[in-house]
Amino acid sequence: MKPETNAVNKENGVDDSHICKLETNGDLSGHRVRRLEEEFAEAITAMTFKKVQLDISSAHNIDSPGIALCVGLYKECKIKKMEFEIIVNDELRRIFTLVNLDKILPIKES
Amino acid sequence: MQEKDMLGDLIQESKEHLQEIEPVLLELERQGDALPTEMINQIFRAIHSIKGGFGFFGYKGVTTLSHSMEHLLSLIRDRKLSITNELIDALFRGIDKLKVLFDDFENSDSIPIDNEIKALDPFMGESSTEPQDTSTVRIDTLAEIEKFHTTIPEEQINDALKNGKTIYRILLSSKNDLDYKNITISAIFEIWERLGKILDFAMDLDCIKGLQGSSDTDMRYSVIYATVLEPDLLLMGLNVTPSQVRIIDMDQLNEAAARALSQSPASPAAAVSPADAALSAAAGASSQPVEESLRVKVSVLNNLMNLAGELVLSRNQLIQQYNRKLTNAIDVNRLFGEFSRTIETSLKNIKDNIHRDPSILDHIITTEVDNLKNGYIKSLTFQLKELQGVNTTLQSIDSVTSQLQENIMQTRLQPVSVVFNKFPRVIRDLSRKLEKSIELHIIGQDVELDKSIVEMLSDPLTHLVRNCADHGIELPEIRENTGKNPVGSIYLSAIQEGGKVIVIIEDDGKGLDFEKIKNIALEKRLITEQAALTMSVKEVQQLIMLPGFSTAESVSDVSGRGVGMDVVKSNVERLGGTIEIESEKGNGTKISLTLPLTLAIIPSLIIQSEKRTFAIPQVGVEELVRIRAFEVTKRIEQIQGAEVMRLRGKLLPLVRLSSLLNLVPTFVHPETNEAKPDKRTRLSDRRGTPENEDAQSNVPDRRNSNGDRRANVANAVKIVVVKTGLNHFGLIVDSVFDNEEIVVKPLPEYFKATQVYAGATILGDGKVAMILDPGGIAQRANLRFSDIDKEQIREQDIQARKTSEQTSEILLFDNGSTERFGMELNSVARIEKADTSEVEIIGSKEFLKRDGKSLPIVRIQDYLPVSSPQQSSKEFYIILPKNTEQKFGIVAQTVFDVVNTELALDTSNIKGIGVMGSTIINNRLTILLDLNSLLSAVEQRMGD
Repeated sequence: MKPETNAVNKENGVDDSHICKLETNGDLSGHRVRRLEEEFAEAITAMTFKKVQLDISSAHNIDSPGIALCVGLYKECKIKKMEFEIIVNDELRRIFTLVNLDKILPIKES
Repeated sequence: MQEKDMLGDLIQESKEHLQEIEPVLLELERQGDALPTEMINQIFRAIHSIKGGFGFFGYKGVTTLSHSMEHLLSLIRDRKLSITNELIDALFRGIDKLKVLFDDFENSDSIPIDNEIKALDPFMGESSTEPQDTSTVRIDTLAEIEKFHTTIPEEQINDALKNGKTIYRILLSSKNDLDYKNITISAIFEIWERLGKILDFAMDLDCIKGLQGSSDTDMRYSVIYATVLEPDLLLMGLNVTPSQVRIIDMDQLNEAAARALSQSPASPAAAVSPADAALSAAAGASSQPVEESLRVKVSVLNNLMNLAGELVLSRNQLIQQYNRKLTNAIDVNRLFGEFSRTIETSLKNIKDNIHRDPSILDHIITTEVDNLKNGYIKSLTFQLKELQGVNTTLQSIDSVTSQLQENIMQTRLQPVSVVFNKFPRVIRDLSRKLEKSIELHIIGQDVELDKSIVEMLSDPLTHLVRNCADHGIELPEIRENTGKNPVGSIYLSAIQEGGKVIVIIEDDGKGLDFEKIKNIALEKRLITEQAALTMSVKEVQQLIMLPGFSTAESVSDVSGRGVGMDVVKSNVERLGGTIEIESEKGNGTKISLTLPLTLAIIPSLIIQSEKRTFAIPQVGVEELVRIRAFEVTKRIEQIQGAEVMRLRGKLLPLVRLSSLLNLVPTFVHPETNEAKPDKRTRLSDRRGTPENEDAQSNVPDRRNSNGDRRANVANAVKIVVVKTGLNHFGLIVDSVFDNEEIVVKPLPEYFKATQVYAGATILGDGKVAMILDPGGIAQRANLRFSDIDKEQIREQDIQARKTSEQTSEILLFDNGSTERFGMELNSVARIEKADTSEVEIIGSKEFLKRDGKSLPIVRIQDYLPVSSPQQSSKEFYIILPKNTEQKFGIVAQTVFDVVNTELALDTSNIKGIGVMGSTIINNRLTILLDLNSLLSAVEQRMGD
């Protein structure tokens, strides 16, 4: 099965300061979201990172489970005291702004 | 201010909605489930509009109560509730409370409504939780909003409110509202923004704990949404259910804002406590009451527009004619110039030919006169033609103005149904409370009356209808026993008659018991016994309108406190109306109120006092009395320092208008026609002051030369008899003019304290005239009607005593035969016993010796055509009349008695010398002797 997460780069497997880059492929909507959640979990439960970077800039659309997923990941990082960063494109940024997520999630423009 | 206007409209509209609801509820009670759903829907919608409207302005009390009622109505509509009297009662209670809330809408939120809600509760059934109705929308609390929204976009909310939008908070579940319906958040935004504006979008982040299961979480979103949509439309437009929608309570938001401000140290000055804000808001509101508004038929307005247009046309015509006049004036001038030249030449011609042959002169004069005549007619007809033009224009202005006036009046007219419609409800409640069955018949509810009259009519009518139900209609059993329909009827009708409207309240109950009324009035010392005896039926009817009168034995909460009919009467009279009672014991009572169509124009009597013109409303004028100058001192008297007049045996207190108003009294000198200050202080005074009296007695000629000025025709006293309540008094004025329809102009506030004026008007000559208020005048003049009444009673007593003096004491005796005679005791000097042996006979004359003198004795049968005694007994009596210097004694066989009797003298049956007449005393015909004629007859005979 082709992973939904395009690249999970473990640049430095041992170092706490390493960054976990999670890059999604395509829209964050529909049944794909559930799978992404599993993959994300796999990627970040194995070890502790200094920072988790979620790149969803390839998506054009996001539905509410998608949003919930982003929030879930953000909360997970908070619990594990990891930094969190989300990279979005203009379209997604607009949606995030509408629902006031831009005030909660640290957004980094692609 | 804009909001104020809207509120005013809303309240007006809501009151109308309530009016719609009442009759339907009554119908619902009568028909029960048979009532068509459409009618229930109608009142459902009405109450729904009330709820929506007041919800919009954030009045919680009204919204909550109307919400409960609406829910109940929805249950009724869905036939989930059976109609009971109790259910209708509960709904009526709610409606009554809503009325209270509307009347004091500014404080409506602090008026408790729990009792009404509690009354509605039992009917709510199991579904009393959140009703699944399309229109039940809860009001949000601040705590709930803050749970989601970290920041509240207040500025945006206020902007939206200013634009007349409603602020909702809509809750969404990600699964139910988005995922299952396959709608994305951006789609939501797209759709919603078309119908309104999303002011804030928040989500409940707390429900996501971590990554685990996050994508499957049912996310909760909360949207603050501003839209013009009504709740029910909103639900449709956004495809959400009522449970998801809240109306945001702005008061709470404001409070929060105030709290935030006061907490922020940067702007402590701006700290305003919500209580203060509410106070100042309330103060601002109460100082500017919501102005009343009135619905006017478009056709009436169209008419008004037409008339205004015509008035403008006529004005233009007048201006044109005036302009033409100016140019024509030159023509006229020219014509007159020509005319005068004609006169000149004619005269010259005549003058030149004056010495000519008479026949030629005659001819010349005739032609010249013809010339003059023609010239004169020419210029005159020209003038007349012009005037005729003006006349038609004036006529049209005249008619248009009267039509305008009529039409404007019409805009103020309202059908009496506005008042009448509340009575079915009143009767329903009363008949339940009193356990009587009463049917109300309303007739003529389309008759229209001035708005102010319609409004002021409400209280008196309610009182009268209550009276009918409480006192008039009997209990069903009693009605049946007396052969009446057990169901009592009350008729409420309005009839228009000319410029008046007659409102009649009639019942078929037990009627007024006049004897009972009289007795109660006596008991309560409202009338004297003397008065009770002489009272007419009409006067007894008036008694029930005296303050403190009540025939009810017990005080019920419906009526019987004895404050009522007098208030009704004074209210009706204040409206310029009259009240009349007709009743027959056992057959019901009919009360008619006659009311004017409008209060703005009233017929008035124009009078003058000291050259100032006043108007007295015609309703208060009873009659006009003119006392001729030489009768003044005779007819006007003084009682306890006050002037009174005797009018048909009754005392009438008098008020001199000029002295009441402190106008300088003047009189017109009969010869010089100039006005001089009048020194008399009272009309009843013979002369003004003692000094004057002296002065005049010193110069006795003056009276003869000038004549008593009070004997002058111009100095007759004119009195306007006016009534105020049950009392009458006379107003002395200088002159009485015509009746005029005057337009009442209200007086400014600072005139109110004067009491005596009811308003002002502008008369035809452009002068301002004050309108007098009879009640106020009586108060200001300190008229003590009770003193007058006392005096009246005292006089009646004297009168009564006098009549008792008119009865005479009659000495009854006979002459030994069958006839019985009588003579007035006070004409009898003494009665003496005599014996036949004492009688000395000289010729045909008989004498008795008394005091050394001979006394002729008179046997009645010798003078009067009566029968002679069969046999004369030895002893008899001599009656010596008074004042006859003992010229004779009358022989009596038996002296019966002295009786006190009223003389009902019959002078026609028995006539003759010495007979005054006959009367019946002690059931016997008695002949009364006329001593004077008897004496002369005796003397004549003695002289023979």
